[in-house]
Amino acid sequence: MGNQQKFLRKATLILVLLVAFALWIWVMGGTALGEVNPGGQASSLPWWAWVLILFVLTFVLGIVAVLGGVGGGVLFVPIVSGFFPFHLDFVRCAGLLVALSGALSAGPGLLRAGMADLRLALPTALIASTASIIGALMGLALPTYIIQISLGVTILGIVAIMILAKKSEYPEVREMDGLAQMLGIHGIYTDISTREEVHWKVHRTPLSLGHQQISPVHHRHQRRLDLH
Amino acid sequence: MLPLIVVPSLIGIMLGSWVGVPILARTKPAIIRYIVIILLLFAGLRAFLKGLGI
Repeated sequence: MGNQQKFLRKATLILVLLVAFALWIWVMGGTALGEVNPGGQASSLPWWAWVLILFVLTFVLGIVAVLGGVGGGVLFVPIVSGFFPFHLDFVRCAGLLVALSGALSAGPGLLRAGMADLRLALPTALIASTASIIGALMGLALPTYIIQISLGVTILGIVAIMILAKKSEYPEVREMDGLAQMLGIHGIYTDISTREEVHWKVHRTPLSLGHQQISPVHHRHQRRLDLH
Repeated sequence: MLPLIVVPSLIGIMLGSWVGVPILARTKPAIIRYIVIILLLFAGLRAFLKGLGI
């Protein structure tokens, strides 16, 4: 398929989505759902204004989510719950759906390009998914402010690790451990910005699998394919 | 009320990610790292302060 055809296909898809979204807003206005203002009863803005503001914000989030590879969930929940007057329960539920759909739509392309790897993702996903059931139950039992503080601390902890980590763009792994060798967790991908082939492998696998702990904050918001 | 939050979010994220892919192809990993650190710092501080009621 030529570049022009690809561009036309994408432009048509975007147009269809935007028309469907406009139709959805128009139809919702006449239903009981349209009478519920997401900003609360005391909100000075109409319900459709909140919907449009959210659309613009998530559009920007979508761009930076692709650049950062952090997915919609990690940025969506703290930013939307911090700046919008929506209840945290609705925001975290929407965050899960955003993270799920983001992972599903990005997954096949990343797997094809070698940027995501099933052998790397499967063991961590299996442990994280199992532990997340307990984490979710704990999270639902905790008060909202504890969840928000824990989410903030978790994200700030990730920032600290990212700042302190050396060579995080291309981590230097000298030797694979036995478990990683047994599971065959290594591969090659092409960095699209530098056009260079990158050979990657992992170490400290048992320790990292053990770190998929039961975290009420983390498991409520993020399930995605890990790149490193 | 959930559809009022989920529908614009999904469409916004989807369109944003389509726009983001060509930008990603032209951006170097080091710059992306700084973008991610700044964004996470902002999101983390916002959630932390909201939790404290500030």
